[in-house]
Amino acid sequence: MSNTQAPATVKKLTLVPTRLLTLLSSDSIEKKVARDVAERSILIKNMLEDCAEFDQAIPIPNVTSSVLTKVIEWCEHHKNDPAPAADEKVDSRKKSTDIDEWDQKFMQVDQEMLFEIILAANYLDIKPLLDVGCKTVANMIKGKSPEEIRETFNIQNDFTPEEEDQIRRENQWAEE
Amino acid sequence: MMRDTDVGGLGPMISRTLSGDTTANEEQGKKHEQRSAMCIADGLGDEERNITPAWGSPRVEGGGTGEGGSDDVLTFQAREGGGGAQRGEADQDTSIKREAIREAINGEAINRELALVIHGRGSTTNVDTLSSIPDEIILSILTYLDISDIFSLIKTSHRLRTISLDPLLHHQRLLRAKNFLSHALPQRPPLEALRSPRRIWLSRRDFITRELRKTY
Repeated sequence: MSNTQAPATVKKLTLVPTRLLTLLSSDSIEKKVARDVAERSILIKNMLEDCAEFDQAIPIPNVTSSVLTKVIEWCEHHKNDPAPAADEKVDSRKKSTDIDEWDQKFMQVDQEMLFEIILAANYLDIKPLLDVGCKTVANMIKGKSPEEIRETFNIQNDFTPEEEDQIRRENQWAEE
Repeated sequence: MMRDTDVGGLGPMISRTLSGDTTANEEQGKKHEQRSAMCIADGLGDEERNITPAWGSPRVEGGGTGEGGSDDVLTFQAREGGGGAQRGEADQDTSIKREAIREAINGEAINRELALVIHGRGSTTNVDTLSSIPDEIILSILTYLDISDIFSLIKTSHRLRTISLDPLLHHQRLLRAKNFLSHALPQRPPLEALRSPRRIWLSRRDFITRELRKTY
């Protein structure tokens, strides 16, 4: 169980005066970030733990500079957030889609950007940001009819008329 | 034919449609002219005069016909005969007509663009944005949704249907509901408290409903 010891060493590391890291986006634009901000990303955190010294830029090959800027903005705002509770406890309660006011404003971007932020959060392993993104999308789906959902996300209706008929019959009891 | 010279540089396509329409519309045009003349005589309002013929050959009526200088009113006028006296007027007409047609075409283009924007709901492209998202992330989005929304998703597309019917998702959903209910049910107020009439605040509408129920 090497994982249980990890948080203690990380604490020690973060107490060291913040150093600037350089992140390199997929379109080779460099971003300077404080180490504690960058460590909101578990991917970068683990990477830094594995390598003692990091003098070169850290390549983030899956994320473009515009998305990386947004993600860093989020990390900077949330750098002092407490660590999230254990996953099992969160899962057992009813999940709410309430989003923090700042995060709501942060997520007011066009759909492509929203999905790119979600993908970046998934890749960089920033669980809270991924959750905020998922909640935002869930709120876009909530209370909509199938046609409205299709319209919102430009989903192609690939059901044949027979299949549609069958689905309608299957779900009839739910609509009554 | 006079039509063709009229149209001038408007391009062969438009001139063809115009000359094709001429014979068919000539009679209609005459009728319309008569009617508009009658309207002027009767002093009827603009709405009667504004009736434009089917898209074919709109023509701006000159000031000489007694319209009183309202040059923005497009009316239909069939040209009878082909007098050289009307030449000068025809040249003027051509430029005005060309303007009108260009405007109409531009308007149509703008309308088409508008329709695209409205249809796309502000999205810059018409690409299925969800297709870039892997299944596991969509699955985690679905954990935030209620059963009614999942039912809507089932009906959208094959991919979303497969994801929405994931057995583990529904197992977790039921487990969460069970845990939530076991926690929430003991906390609900006792039935007596809900029944107690003192706690119910009657609005004016409730009061009237109650009174009506008593009388009938």
